[in-house]
Amino acid sequence: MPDHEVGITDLLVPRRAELTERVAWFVRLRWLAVGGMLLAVPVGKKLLGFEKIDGQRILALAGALFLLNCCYVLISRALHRPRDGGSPDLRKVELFAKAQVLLDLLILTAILHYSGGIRNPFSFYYIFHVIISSILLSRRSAYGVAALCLGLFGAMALLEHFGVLSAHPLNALQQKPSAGYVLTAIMAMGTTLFTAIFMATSIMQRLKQKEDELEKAWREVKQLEATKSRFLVLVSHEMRSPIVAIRSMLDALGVAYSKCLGEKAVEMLSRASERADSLLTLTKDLLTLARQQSMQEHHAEQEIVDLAALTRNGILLFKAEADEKSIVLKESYPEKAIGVRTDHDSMNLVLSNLISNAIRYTPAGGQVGVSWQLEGRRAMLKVSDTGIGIPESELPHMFKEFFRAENARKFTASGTGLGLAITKNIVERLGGTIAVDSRLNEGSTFTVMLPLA
Amino acid sequence: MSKKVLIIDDDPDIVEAEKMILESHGYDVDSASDGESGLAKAEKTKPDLIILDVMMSTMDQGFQVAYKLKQSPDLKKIPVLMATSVGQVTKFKFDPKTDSDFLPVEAYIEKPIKPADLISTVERLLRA
Repeated sequence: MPDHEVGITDLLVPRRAELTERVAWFVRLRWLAVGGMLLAVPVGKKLLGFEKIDGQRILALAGALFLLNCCYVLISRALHRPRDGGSPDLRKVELFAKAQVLLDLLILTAILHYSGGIRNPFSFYYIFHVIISSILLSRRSAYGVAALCLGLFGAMALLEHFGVLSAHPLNALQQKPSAGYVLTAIMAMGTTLFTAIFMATSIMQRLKQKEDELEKAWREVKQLEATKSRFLVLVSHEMRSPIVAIRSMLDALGVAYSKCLGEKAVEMLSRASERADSLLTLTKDLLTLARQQSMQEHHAEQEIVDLAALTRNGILLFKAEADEKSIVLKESYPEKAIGVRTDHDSMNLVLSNLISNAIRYTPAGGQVGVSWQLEGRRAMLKVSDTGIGIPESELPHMFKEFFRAENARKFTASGTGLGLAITKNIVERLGGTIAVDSRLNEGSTFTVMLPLA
Repeated sequence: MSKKVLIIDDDPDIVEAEKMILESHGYDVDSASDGESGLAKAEKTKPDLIILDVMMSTMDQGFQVAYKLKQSPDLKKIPVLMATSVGQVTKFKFDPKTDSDFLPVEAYIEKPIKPADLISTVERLLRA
């Protein structure tokens, strides 16, 4: 699958998966928090001069958080792999996330209480919870979380202030804060939390809206593409039988009535038959293109194919054509096999399109080269010719459907302008790239790079 | 005596075109527009060669006719030339090179058939 498609599908991870994935984040962050708490006690006591820090209680809380997190791991495993084998129940996952947020906030408040209360700068950690909630939960729940944060923080501040809870200052220098400071701290916390949640939820809402629009647009494009392919198949299928009949009748006329028709009429008939034939080639190419496009969606069966062997066999079919125009066909292969994950039909199409083009657009007496090389983890195919070349201004259009360079049209009438579009489609489906380099009247080189299996 | 060729094909234009070419080369041509009447005609007239279209009203009718021809003790000696366009038109994969073992007809030819190819193939089959 080409890169750009992976990008879009990545953006469209269903929210269910996103929620469960982020819940797994919580768990990982919490291990860090436990480690941080274990470290904070000695660092605070020895380095920062917080000699009155309540080490025992904080370590006990760290232990509690550790045990809780172990439970979370078990619960989230059970939620991710329900016994009935279905997908996780979104409501349960959301409830689980909310329960984690609630317990986390309680533990954070307890830690703050035992380490200086509102004077502990770690009270800013409430903001983390608020922002994570606005990303994961609904707007209402996020505001609920903000209210809960403020309630817990305010309750702690007021209860400590009025002496209902005993304060635990970090060191002897920390004085009991004044009523004004307590109020200011609560105000500051409240405005910070609600502003943060307002900003985060409105950004999230816009993102979610964009995501929905993108998903809808992507579905529509997919559907359009499928319709186009179906239409192409139908049209080329329906066109084929009448053209076959037309051609058969023209040929029959030319053969059976050649004597009474006269030379000119027979020549016209054979020209008409040739035109019918090029229409047939067109329907065939259209059908191949449509089929290759639908293969992109339903991954075709693939195996590891030795492209050197495939090319050696395939090139035999072009020997006669090359000989007829006295074109020298040069081949070169690496000593090792070139194993690429593909299917025979697709790779044969790539090779035959490039080689037949090279022969078609090379005047008699020229040279066509087909070479495979190994370049690190990729295989490189070069098909070069000493043909008519491509004008520089037309190079960027070479792989577009129905495009034929002007000098190519003049050089030969045959050709539908679909061969290179088909080729590019296949190469990209196989995760490779195709490029062309050309000089007018000197020749062209097509380079295909494919990832090795 | 001229050789008898039976064309089984549901496209009247194709039938007429093939008929015209074969008749101009001195063959005696009869035709049928579906599998059933084709088998009946083969039974009755015992042609020297049968040209059979793979796709008629249903996608594999031609194959079924071929099976029946090759199972019939009276008809199995008659060479069958199968005209295909199956490989290109449907997703139905069919490769005469590998699949002819289970479907023992004498030759395959891809539509549209060029007059020269038709005549040379018919001549080759009748000589064998």
